[in-house]
Amino acid sequence: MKLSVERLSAGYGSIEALHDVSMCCETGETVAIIGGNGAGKSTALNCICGVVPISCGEVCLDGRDISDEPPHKIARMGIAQVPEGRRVFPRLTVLENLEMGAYMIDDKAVFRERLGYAYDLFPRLHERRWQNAGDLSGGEQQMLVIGRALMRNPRFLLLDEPSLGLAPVVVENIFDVIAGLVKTSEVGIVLVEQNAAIALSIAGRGYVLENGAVILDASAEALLSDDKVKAAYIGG
Amino acid sequence: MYLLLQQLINGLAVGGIYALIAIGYTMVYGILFFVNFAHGDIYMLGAFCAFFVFTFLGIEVTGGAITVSQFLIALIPSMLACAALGVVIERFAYRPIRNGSRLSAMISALGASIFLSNAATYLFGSQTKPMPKLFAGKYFTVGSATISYIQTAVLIVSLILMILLHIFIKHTKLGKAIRAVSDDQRAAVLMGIDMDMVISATFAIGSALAGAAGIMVGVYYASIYPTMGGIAGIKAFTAAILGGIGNIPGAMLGGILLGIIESLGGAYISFGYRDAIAFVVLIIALCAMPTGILGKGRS
Repeated sequence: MKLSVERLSAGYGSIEALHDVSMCCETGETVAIIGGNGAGKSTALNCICGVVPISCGEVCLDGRDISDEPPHKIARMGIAQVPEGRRVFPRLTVLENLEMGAYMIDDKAVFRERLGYAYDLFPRLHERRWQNAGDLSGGEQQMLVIGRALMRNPRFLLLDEPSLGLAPVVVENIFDVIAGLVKTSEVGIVLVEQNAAIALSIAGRGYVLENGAVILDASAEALLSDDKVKAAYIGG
Repeated sequence: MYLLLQQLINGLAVGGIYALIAIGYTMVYGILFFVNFAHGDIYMLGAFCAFFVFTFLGIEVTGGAITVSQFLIALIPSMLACAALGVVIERFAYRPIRNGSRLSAMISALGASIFLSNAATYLFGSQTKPMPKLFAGKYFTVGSATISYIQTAVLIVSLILMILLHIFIKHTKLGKAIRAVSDDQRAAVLMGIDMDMVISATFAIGSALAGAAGIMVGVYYASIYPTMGGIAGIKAFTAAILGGIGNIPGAMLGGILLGIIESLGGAYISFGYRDAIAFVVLIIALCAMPTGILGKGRS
């Protein structure tokens, strides 16, 4: 399957946050979107999920324009976003958060299998399953939101800044799991990151966004060795 | 001592009613962050619904009496009618302006409230209507305190409804979705949760509980009138704030507390200042705990 945005523009009021952006991701591959603050990375993910309206262009799933669908229907098509800033349901327990991730799964057996999968990926969630999500550490919350998104076995997983505000050792742990997903599952991963080095270390391809436009589109190796990318986003 | 017991019982019965109405205010606020001023009028219409069911069943409303089964026969359709009304009000008065400012929602809510109470006055007349009594005049005594059957029934029905609500919110998928939406709307939508459906369900549940409160007040005081939702609505709203607006157990606790405070204040200070006492307590409580008893500040 293929998820793509074609000539997408979007904005908030008179400010254009994305201009004529085209990107795509197929199931089984990992695509990184890198760029600085305010480059439009999160806006792009929010447009795909239907929570930010687009002003022109298309969001396509297997060639079908889904940009007019309401966000909960887009989620049900197998597109799962892990939003920036984690956004657990703080007053729900860890288990209830995971249940909400599987909101449209009615089959109890499938649910239990997915729950087992999430607990295998993040054993810490199993230990904490009766605790309110609001009482978890930042790293545990990030595990929870990734586990929550995977509960419904999405075809595309959109990760928005999973490393943000986490200790380096926790970031490593989380990226180990994401790298594992890349190898073992068929899910297509769109990884939005300011930490370009770590994102490109697990992605196959990447896009560089600047001021709402794609300025570079290349394989991860090519981007990692690109002087401009190195200077601006990797700090080497 | 018996006066105290007597007033506690009186307070618990009235408090159960406040709690049932307060739940609707708090649930809607928890999700949409505005006060549904039409909620008190839904409570009033619940009472009128029961009045028409009794009339339809051929029960003498003036000075008449009903059995428990007749009460239940009226309770169920009235709650359902109120649930439907709540959903319709949300659909037409609030949904079209959901993305507007909260001030517009508040104005629309005030409009819906005025519309409903005036429509009721127009359709049913402004005069007080009699209601048949449940357990007319029956009571038992504990020492010198007299506890009427109807007070006990009001308390029991309120408690049963609150327990059912608690189970629903805590353990069903839809109940958890309601809590999830109240925690983080954006994240909930990204899970595939249909906001419109959750909001409709919230209005249905809150309105059904208000309707139940309306019927119970009707058969408790044996009279109903189109503006009865005004003061009851404000009291219940007070109870919701006292308990911590947005918090369901808080609304239950706030309602019961307000009922007891009012009843004790009425007995020990002055019956005439009963309402004033309730609001003074609210002001003092909010100075000490600005987010209410069980409420937590939102970041």
